[in-house]
Amino acid sequence: MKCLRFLLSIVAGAFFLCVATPASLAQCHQPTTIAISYTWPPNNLVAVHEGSVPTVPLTTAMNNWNAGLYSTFDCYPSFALDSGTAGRDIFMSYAPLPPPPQCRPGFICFTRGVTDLQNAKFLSGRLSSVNITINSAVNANDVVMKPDIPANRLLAGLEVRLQDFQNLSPLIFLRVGSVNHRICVRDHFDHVLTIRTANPDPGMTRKGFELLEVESE
Amino acid sequence: MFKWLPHSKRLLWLFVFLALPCIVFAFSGQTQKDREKARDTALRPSHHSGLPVVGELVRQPEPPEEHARRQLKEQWYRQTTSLREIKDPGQLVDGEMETVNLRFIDTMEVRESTAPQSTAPRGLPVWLSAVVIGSILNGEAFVDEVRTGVYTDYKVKIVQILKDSTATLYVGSQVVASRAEGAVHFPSGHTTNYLIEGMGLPQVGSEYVLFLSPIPNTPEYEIGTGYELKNGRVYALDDENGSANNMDQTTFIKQVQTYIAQQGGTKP
Repeated sequence: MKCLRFLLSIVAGAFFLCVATPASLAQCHQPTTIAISYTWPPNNLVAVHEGSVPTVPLTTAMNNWNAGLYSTFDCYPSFALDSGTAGRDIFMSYAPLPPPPQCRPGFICFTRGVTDLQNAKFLSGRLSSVNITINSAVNANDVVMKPDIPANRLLAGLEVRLQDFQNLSPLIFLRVGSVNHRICVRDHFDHVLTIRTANPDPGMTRKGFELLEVESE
Repeated sequence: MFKWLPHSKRLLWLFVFLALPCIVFAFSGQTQKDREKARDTALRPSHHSGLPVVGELVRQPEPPEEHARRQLKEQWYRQTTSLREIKDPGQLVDGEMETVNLRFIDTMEVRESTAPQSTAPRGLPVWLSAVVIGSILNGEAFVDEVRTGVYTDYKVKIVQILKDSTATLYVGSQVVASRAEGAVHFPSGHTTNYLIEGMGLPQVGSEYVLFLSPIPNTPEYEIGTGYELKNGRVYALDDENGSANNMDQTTFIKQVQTYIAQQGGTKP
């Protein structure tokens, strides 16, 4: 009798492995992810090749990232002009980009930049090099501030001004920095500003991605 | 053989040997399923997107009238979208016959202090010319004639009209609505999926609330955004409108109608 019970349990186990397991796993909820291959590996210094993008705002953007998000929140990677970890490069270009086609009445819409992975290269399953186009028509006067938001407002004690970020459409490339399987995006700062400012009208919202989850390594 | 083992142990070994191939089969099946699932996820640019429709790089000849209309549409797309070079990458890219060319577009909007502003949220663009409920009958992907863009034309059967500023739509009619995404099958045999992160593609056979914008000088439309209607719930085509996901369909449609009425649009 014992033996029969034992055998039946083996048969049941084998059946479960053959049939039930794949089916049940297939029903698992798929988390909100983007492929980790679209992010930079941690602990890398990515070389930013400025192309025709103005050097000053680009350098400021990188410095702000390195000093703020990278140092404070471990949002990898860090960036440097024209030098970095071998095989980790961002090639920037500066060109007019059309605005998004659907814009609300009463708003002006801009495309700040486009990151196209068509010519991107990947190394060990992570980004190795990518081309990023920044809209040459977007400048500080167009997109930055309403005068009622102090230009020097500090963000969450980071000592990084929102203006430093918003002046800098090159920040598009920061979308692909990752930390703890999350993408560190500038949206954090917009959000922080919106809830910290005393002005109920933040004047500006952004359209694009929310905080993106990146699939696990 | 195995006669030195007691009877029960012999049976045990027999079952172990029988179960082993089953286990291997189960795990290999699982790996295959994982791979298919990963492919499926990679090919959907948004969470509730359909899969891209695959078109050929080399176009079939079409009647002159249709060709002229397509040229107008492509000209408009070239002016309103960032161009990208569409070229055959050869049969294999990193050993794969199919790849995804994902594009990230970073946009923002600035409120104009003087202009009258819409009360409708960005996710419900009722200010666009047409808002309809429609079923997606089929889709066809095209490469721009000068090979700087890809778009997919969806044939939509109008089920209900919520707004129509163009006064050209009627229930039961079919219109073409497109999105600047799609997949291309190249002569080498390689397929590239040209997608925009967060911007979904309608699923053929499904029903949607579609916010449509007319393409100038053509009877066709561009899909501003959309919401799939499924089992009495709505699911946003574009990720940025994901807050509406799982909302009750009737409540959602009423909300859209209210915004349309506030906007001064028709509410048939």
